[in-house]
Amino acid sequence: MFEIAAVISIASEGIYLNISESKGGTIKKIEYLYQPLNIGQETFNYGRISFKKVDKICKILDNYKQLIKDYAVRNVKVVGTTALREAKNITFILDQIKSRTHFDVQVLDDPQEKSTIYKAMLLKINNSVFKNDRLFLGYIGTGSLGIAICKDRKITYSQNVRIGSVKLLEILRSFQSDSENAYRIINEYLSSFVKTIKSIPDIHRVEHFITCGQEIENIIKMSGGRLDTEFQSIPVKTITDLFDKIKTNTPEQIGRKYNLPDHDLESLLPSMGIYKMFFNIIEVSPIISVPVKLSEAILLEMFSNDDFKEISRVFAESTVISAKNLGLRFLYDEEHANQVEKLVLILFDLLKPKHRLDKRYRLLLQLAAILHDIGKFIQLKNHSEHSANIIKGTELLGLDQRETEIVASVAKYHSTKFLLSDDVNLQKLEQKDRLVIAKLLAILRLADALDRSHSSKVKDIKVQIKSRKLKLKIISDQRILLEKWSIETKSEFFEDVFGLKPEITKE
Amino acid sequence: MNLDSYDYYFNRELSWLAFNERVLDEAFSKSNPLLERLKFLSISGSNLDEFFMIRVAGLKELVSVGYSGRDAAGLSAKEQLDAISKKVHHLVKKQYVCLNKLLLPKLQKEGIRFLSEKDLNSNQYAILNDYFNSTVFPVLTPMAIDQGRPFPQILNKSLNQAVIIENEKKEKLLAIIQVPSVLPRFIRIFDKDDEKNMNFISMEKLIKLFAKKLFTGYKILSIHPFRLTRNSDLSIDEEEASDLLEEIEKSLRQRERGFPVRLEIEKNSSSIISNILFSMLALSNDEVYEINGPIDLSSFMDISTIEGYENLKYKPIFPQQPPEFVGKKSKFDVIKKRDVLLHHPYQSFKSVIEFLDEAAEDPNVLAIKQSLYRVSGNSPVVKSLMKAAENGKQVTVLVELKARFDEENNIQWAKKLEKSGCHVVYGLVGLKTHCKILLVVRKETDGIKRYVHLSTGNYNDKTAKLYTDIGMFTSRESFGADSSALFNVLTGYSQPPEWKKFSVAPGSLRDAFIQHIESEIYNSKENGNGRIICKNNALLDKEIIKALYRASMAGVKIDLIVRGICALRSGVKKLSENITVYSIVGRYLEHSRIYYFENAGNPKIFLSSADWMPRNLDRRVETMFPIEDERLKEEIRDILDLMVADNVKARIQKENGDYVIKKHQGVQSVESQEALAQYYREKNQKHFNDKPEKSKFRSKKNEVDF
Repeated sequence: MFEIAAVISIASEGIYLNISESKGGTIKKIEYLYQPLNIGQETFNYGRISFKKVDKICKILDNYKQLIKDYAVRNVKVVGTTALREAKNITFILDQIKSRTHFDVQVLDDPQEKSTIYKAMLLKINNSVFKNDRLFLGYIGTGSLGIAICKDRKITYSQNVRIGSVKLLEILRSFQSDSENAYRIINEYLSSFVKTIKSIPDIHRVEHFITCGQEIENIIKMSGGRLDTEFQSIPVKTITDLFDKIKTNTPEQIGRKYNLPDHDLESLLPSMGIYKMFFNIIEVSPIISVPVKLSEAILLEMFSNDDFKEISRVFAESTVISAKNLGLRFLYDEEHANQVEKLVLILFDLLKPKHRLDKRYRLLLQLAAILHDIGKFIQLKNHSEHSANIIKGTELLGLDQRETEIVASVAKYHSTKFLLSDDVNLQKLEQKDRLVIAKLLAILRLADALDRSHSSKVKDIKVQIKSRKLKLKIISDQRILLEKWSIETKSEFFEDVFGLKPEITKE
Repeated sequence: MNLDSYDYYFNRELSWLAFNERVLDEAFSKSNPLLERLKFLSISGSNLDEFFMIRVAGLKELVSVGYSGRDAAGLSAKEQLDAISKKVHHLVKKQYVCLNKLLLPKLQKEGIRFLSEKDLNSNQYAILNDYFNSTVFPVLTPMAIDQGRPFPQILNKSLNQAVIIENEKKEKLLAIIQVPSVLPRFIRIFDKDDEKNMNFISMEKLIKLFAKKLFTGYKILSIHPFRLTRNSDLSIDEEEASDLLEEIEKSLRQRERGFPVRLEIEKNSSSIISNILFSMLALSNDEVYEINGPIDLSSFMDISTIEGYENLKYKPIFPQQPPEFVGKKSKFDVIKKRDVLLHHPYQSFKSVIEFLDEAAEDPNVLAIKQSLYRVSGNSPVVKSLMKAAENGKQVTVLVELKARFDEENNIQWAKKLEKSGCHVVYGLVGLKTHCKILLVVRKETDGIKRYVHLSTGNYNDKTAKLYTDIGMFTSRESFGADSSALFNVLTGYSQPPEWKKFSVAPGSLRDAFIQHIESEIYNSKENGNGRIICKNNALLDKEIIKALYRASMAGVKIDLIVRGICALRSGVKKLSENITVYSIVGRYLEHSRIYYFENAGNPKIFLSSADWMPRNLDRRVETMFPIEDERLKEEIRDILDLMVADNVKARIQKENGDYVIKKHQGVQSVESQEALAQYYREKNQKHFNDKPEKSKFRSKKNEVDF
């Protein structure tokens, strides 16, 4: 049998509909519609979306609904990106859309958008000869630039730089410069990012430059290339030559010359500027374009596709790796972190019937365990608060905002008192999430206590639940007095959450 | 070489008139049955009516706004009008020679007689007297004209009688009687004494016969019919006049509708009458046509289709079912495996209806989308779509309301469709949807499957019996994707994508044509084997003509089978020596559009809804699609070969723009339309003969497909 699903993507420049079917691991596009609508312009200039625009959005969504009906699609997702995300009146806009079209629009946050794209890129790369090489992944979003380093199909580093094509355009507009000078401003502005990007670990050892997106596809089109292949290589020189040829042209001139649609034109030069900046840092040619679009990437998540599940699993590993790399950058106690990570995972799995949390939370707990002490880099006092701030400030790969908030909160309260409602930040989270945090926190504190001496005494652990007691049998070749004491002082919270009193014995 | 030279182009209007003369020539042709000849004559008449209402009226407006532009042939609007008048005067003379000298005497011999007052016996007179009193008299409104009363509004295309009457004081007066259009133009006189003949009298003669009943107290001095053609007001159609409209609008003049463009008046009418009409209607001499016989030949259409007299009509042909479908329960199953071509009217339109019906009932069908441009009243297509919607299918119908005529009728069935639950969309603003496309989305066990029918002609079961058109069924994925995308464009849901197989106007169609021509030029230069065959209805687009000239100069051999207007001048030394222009005018209206490019031995063949006219390429949504199935390609090649070989109904354009029948001494005569009917009969026979015995019996049953 086959599955069919639809994704509507409300982007800055217009609205897309992608209806695809999945069968035996292959995904076939059935319908792909695009209706231009400049939503970003309102958001980026005025910070809000007008109701007039909402009318237009709803009209397009209604039309798309007819097509969704044509194919009797039940599995439908409507997502919004930067233009919706950054509108201050988004709550009202979404409510309007909901009441008029019955569509629930899910606004993707930036990291979510990027990790969805990365996963789709990795899935394509999975079929390539270079899949295990060190790859640089670049994705120019409208709001920010996603860059990542990948080795053996695992992302070792990722970063979102706030220089998306539309952001650059805003800067250009604020200069109100003529087209003759636009590219100079782009160059100058981008040069301030060069240092940051140059300091990315391993960036000089990158073997392939992989990218995707509308901009690179337009560049391929303009240089006479074809778009119907899985991978498309473009020599760097082709792009730089093209840039030199058109850098002083107005978007209108470019449109006429290359027969490109209007909505793609404005962001073209800024995007090419970004590519040029990368070429100065990463000396790899040709660069490789993989045909990945956001709507397609989201469809992958909607289908029960085995290859994609595997990618997602590997991707979670990437998240862990990138957390550890973050730890390294903050000179964390690697041994302690590893030990606590090991222990929380054992405890999480053993306590499964008690906490009833799914695998995704296992990952969040794992991250919290890795990163709970990195705030010590700043100051020992209040270190857990610093840990939380670092976590929130770095956008962990593959985590959305809510998940990041959970990881940060777990780290934040690992050494202080935790009350279910006393923290302003916690109040932002839903009751459900506060409970999750409490459960994860209880496990983390227990694990942390089990390595109180930071010397990885515990080799393994056996758990037994017996009449309101959590009996922990420690396997270790060292004395565990400190840990015992620590457990006794910190077990109260665990008992509060799970109704079990931890007891520690050594085997 | 200046390819813009006036010498290289024919004027559009004169080329069209030449086409109409070819239609008229069919009325002269002894090879056609008598009533069919009458029909050709009638068509040549109604064609002219439309030509005056739209083209001549448009040119007249151009003159009146002082437009100074010239056409591709270098003629100003005034010069065109003069040339048209000259040519039409010649045509009209020819029409009535045909009618009076050839057709009426022959009809008389066959017992179809048109009587005059002197021919009537007393019995017939009595019958007509009764008919006049009971039926005609009540609907007649004679209007006298004098200082107190204004000249009455003479309706467009209406037949009128101008009557000079005299009162007791010997004062002469002009009166006008409109010949009622609600009554038949020719009244059959059922005379018991003369049953072997079919006797008719024309309405104007009948009115003349009893006119004294209308003017009691007056003496009738003379009575003569006349007919006025006006700039058609309501029915003006951008389709025919858009190029002129643009120019007119540029001149910023409020368009005045309904002005007279032609006066037809009975020959030997009293000069008083013609003088009054002349001055009242402000017409010039050139615009008046003296008619030697019944005015308005289009009214003979009713006679030509009269019941009985089968020996005077074409033998009926029985449209075949495509052999691929015969005996198959499901068309989906057939189309899933291979493309199927449908060539109307040789093959039946029924297959399309059956396909739709199957889709309407099939539980796996999710959605049906169709473009409807002109459908027949009570159309089975509309019925099937309604049924599908009632069965819960998602039905999207793209209705083009600007389609000529039957506006009222169009709106009615569009509403009916909506009521039954169809999703009705009314075309794109400013663009007429002319492509013919039907898409069925079906959910099958291995995924979504799309079935497409594309055609050169409308989804009209009636015209599918009279027009030659080619349709194709396919389930090719790229065609399905393009079809879906095309509907998304037509419904305004999406921007045009990059087409996989289609070329679509406006946008990429002209470029596609020119690209194919260019590649033949390349092949000719490189390998000396450039070859183009085009079969369509009109060639007017200058860019394409220039490309064809360049191709001819490069040695590409070009056959253009263009039914109507052709602005390209063939056979000019060093310019178009390699181009031959054919025009086939026959029993069926040639309507299919086929474009063949040799492509160095690997032919590219396309079907399209578009002619080579600017209006097709710029102001309409049109499609062109490739034929990819090798068997279908062969079939199209066979069709084109037969057309090029036609030496009975095909005329060849001479350098001066005249068209002549090919000389075929010593060569077997080929009439392509007949040959094609034979071709499809044989195809079916061959199909059944190849089958095991049992099917032979079945073939008989299936061969006839009414």
